[in-house]
Amino acid sequence: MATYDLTKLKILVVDDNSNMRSLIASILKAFNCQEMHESETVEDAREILRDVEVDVVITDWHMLPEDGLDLVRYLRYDDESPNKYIPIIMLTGFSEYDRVLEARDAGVNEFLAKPIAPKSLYLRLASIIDSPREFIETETYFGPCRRRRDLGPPPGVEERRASAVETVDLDDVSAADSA
Amino acid sequence: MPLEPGQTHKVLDNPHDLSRHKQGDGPPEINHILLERAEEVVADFANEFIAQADADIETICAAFDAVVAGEDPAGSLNSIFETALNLKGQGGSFGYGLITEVADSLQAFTLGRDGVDDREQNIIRAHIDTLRLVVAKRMEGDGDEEAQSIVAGLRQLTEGV
Repeated sequence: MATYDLTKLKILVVDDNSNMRSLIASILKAFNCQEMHESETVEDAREILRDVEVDVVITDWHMLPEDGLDLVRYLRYDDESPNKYIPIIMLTGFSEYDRVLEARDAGVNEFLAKPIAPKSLYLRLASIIDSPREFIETETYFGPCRRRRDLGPPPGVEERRASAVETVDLDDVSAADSA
Repeated sequence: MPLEPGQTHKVLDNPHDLSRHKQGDGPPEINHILLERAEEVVADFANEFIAQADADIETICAAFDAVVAGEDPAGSLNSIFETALNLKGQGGSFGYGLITEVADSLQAFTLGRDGVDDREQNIIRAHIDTLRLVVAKRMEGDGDEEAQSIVAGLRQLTEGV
C-alpha cells in the first residue's frame, strides 16, 4: 500500500475569505503539512509563487479583483509563470456543471466543490502525488490532460480531439467522496 | 514550442514530480488517523463559523434593505450574492448543511440580477428569514423533515423566476 508524507509538501492556499483560509490551512496541518502559504488575493499569490517553489496550489474561484481562473490562466499561459505544470486544485462554492467544465478548460487539475470535506481534499492531494497527469498543448489549451479515462476517440474519428467533452468526469463535482 | 503544421496537439511529459512525498507502492492507503484529526479540526471551527454566519446574515439584511429602498440595486444584490456564496461554501464544512442549502438557493437566485420586483423581493426575504431561523436555532446537519420541506419550498419559489 502507498502512503503519503505531506510534511514537506509546499502548498499555497488562495482564498479571500479568512475563515476558509484558516480552515483549509488547519486541515492541511492536521494532515501534517508544515509548509503552507496563504494569500488573500491573486496578486499576493503571484508574489508568493515568485519567491517560493510551491508544489501545489489550492485556490478559490470567486475573488476580486482577479479571480481563481485568472490565477490558473496566469500559471498555465503567462510567460512569467514560475511553473506551468504546477498542480492546481480549485476549491469553490460554484458547483454547477458548466463551472466544472470552465475550470477544467482553464487548466485545473482537480475541482472540489465547497463545502469542503477533509477526506475529499486528502484524496485529491493523493491523486496529484500518485498520478501526475501528462500535459496537453493545443492551439487553445495548455494544461493537464482532461481525460480521466482512456475512452479512445469517438466512433468514426481516428485522432484525439482537443475538446474532450466525451471524457468529462463528473466525480469532480462531488463535494464529498463518501465522506 | 509552437505546434507543427497539421499538428492538432502535443502530449508533454509532466516534469513536476511529487513522488518523493509518496512511500510504498500499490493502491493508496487513506490515513484514518490524519482524517480523524482533520475532522476534529473542522468541528473546532464550527463555533467560530456560526458567529460569522450571524454577521453575514446582517450583511445580507443590510444589502436587502438597500435593494428595497432602491439604493444601488445591482451592487446590493451582488453583495447578497457574494455573502450567500461564502455561506454556501462554509456551512456544510462546519456541520451546518442546511445553511449551505439555503445559501445556495439564495446565491443562485441573486446571481447576475440588477434589480428585483416585489415578488422577487419576497423570495429573497423568505431566504433571509430561513437563514436567520437556522442560525438562531443552531440547526446542524441537513435539518429534520420540516426543515427539508422548507428548503424544498424555497427552491420551488425560485424556479423559473
